[in-house]
Amino acid sequence: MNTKDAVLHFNDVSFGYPGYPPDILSGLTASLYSGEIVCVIGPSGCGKSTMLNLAGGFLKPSVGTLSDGRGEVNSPAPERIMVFQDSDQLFPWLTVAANAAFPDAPEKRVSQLLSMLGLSDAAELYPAQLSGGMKQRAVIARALAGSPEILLLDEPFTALDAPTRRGLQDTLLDLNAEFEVSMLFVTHDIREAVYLADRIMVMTSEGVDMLDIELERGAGMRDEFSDEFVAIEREIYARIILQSTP
Amino acid sequence: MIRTIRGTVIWFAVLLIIWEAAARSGLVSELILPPLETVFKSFGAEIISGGLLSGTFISLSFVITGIAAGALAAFILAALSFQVSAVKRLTDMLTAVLHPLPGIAVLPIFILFFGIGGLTLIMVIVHSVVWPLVVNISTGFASVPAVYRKIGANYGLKAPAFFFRIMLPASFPYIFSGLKTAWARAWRAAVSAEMVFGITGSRGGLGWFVFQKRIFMDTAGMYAGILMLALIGLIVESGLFHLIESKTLKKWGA
Repeated sequence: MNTKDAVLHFNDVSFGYPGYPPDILSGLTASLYSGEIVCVIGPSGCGKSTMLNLAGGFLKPSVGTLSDGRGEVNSPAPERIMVFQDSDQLFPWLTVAANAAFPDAPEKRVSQLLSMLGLSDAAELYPAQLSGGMKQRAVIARALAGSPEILLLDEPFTALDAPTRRGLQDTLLDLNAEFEVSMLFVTHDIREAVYLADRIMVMTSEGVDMLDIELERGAGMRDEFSDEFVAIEREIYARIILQSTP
Repeated sequence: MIRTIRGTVIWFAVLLIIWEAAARSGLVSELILPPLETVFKSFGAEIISGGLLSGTFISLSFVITGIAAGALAAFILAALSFQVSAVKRLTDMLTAVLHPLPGIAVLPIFILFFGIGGLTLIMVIVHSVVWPLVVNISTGFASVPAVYRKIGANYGLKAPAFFFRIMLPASFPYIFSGLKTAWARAWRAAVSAEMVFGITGSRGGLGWFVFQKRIFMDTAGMYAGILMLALIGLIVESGLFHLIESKTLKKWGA
């Protein structure tokens, strides 16, 4: 793969708030290719969310450029939809169906998504009546309803209990296969990253020494007790510890 | 809910019994406290003659006009203040100075400017509703979660759609509470202003009705007017606002 079929490309991107050195991100070069899931892991404060906000166009690089398939990224756009960290990002005044259709998604796609996400029976409920897992499902329905090219997810399942999280991870994989949407998925859960990713980027607070692990998505990678899965998990742990030791 | 209603009804009945006992005992003059029967008869008669209903209609139409004009002004002020910090400082200053002033206190100023008439009455009502509304709407706008605004930006919503589809519904709990305050203040302002400067044009509202009945020592008629004032308050506050609340805020879990 080369930068040609990259749906998102970071070209030597640095970001820092003026007057607050050092930079949160510096010299980041990375690409997201069409249809793949890239998980970004690293300890808090290493710049994962900043990277996602840059990708969304909510922040602008201090140095370097960011481009998608059409050109330079410099503002938020419906082609790159962000799923935020907040547990309450549905609009409480709209039903699940109306939230999913926000602002003007086609009805057919909305009902297809609601059914794939197991929300058909909850379509007329208000967010206040939903469990945490159902809320996140509705958020994902809304994120995909407008047919975005890229989904940017900022630790979307952190607040959920383990079985609920696993269910959502599986749904996300189904959706990725069905709609061929690319996903940049930030998490601090290594197991989640190994479970979901085609590629894993490991970030550290030390800077941009980014590890880029490519995974073969195969039988073993969907079984977190398989030798293959455990080996990769261990390797990532080892690399993170190695990276963060001075 | 049922318990609350039952409690209200029981206490209301107790008060009526005390009233009736006091009136019948002969200890209190009938000119001060007429028997309930007389009050209710007078209420019925005033309804039939149309005096009470036309008074209610006049007062309500002034209040509704005043609230509508005040709400429009408040929305414009709050929206401008949200966008432009210089306007926000002006609004803050005006609110600090004018919010505590009772409508009735500024009545003389409005009379000087607009004379004695409907416009003055409406201006008094606008004054009493615009400041609490500005405060509530501004608080509402300021408390719209950043994530809602980011979502709006993500979908590329521009000013009018952004305002009507995100800012307005997201701050509705505050706007609604502002409207409740506005209604209470407008209703009081309208009735008291009518009592101070009386009739506006050829017809008077409920405040004027009550005032006039007292002047002519028609105590039962006066109580009938006050009963009507209380009824309207009850219908709007426990009926209308309650209904809106159950259709919106209750469902939203706000």
